Amino acid sequence: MTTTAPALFTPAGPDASVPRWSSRVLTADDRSEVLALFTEPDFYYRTERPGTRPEWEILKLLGDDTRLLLADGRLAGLFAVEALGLPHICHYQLHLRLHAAAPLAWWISTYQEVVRATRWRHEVIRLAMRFAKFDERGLQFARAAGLTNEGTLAGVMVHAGRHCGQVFFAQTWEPSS
Amino acid sequence: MMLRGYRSSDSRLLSGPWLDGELAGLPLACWPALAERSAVPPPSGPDEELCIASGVGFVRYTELDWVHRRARVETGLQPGHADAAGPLLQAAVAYGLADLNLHKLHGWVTPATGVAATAPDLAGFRLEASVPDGIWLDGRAVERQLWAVIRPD
Repeated sequence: MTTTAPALFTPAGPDASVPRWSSRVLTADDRSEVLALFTEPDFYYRTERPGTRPEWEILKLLGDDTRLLLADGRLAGLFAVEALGLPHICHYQLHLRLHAAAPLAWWISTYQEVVRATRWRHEVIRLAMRFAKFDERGLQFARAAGLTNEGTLAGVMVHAGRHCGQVFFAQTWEPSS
Repeated sequence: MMLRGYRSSDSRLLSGPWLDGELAGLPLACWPALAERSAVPPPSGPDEELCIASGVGFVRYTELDWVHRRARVETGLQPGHADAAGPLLQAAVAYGLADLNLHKLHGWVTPATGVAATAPDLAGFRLEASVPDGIWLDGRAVERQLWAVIRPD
């Protein structure tokens, strides 16, 4: 099986050291720490207005598929892999967000780990991600990771009083049959 | 190896980095850091039998067919206890055939895990069938094998 996306960027050099990643399900004890992530104005995890979301809405955004991303055991972000359509289509959407202090190398590294984990027990033909046009960190990651830019859906959200687009990215693999 | 009944305090033994449904559920060192661990539900009714090897792992008899006296067996061993696979399966066979009075036990073995099939072999299991592309693992479909042991009535 071969990937049709460009080879992924591999962090290198002393500034690109990455932590040991792990993940787990949220518990009630994690709530305050997770809510604190959403106080960052650009923590765009399933919302384009994280800083003003109330607790009930954040809990709804998290759903039951969100997993904590732990860097050397400490909370560094959130992710969820969501099936788009029926499972046999093998098309998934990834929601991934790291806290503001995480360097680009962490984004790349955790993305690679998520891909490996997602393809471990399921066939994945397309893994999609979406970032708002104003999401600089998200767009920087998607380009650095070599994800395929599939286009922009214009005017689907409002930011700072103006309509903005959403950029669609994906990595694809050849179907097994 | 002694098998005993499940208690809620044993719940941590029910999940781990092994391939689900595997006869010899040995912890896999290559398990992706962010992949969900395999897990079996705690026993809650007469449709299955789950026994614990204290601190080591579990044996689960599922798809129980009391009429034809057969079941599928799966085990799960905690990291650091891979060498207990043989004794655990031997205890599983002894309990399944003698105490549960089953005639046949079968289970899945996935060669691609890199785990040799010596443990099932030692416990008296024999290869019955190969299922090409029987399971998805690490980005590809891989062979899965059916192993079984029959009680010498």
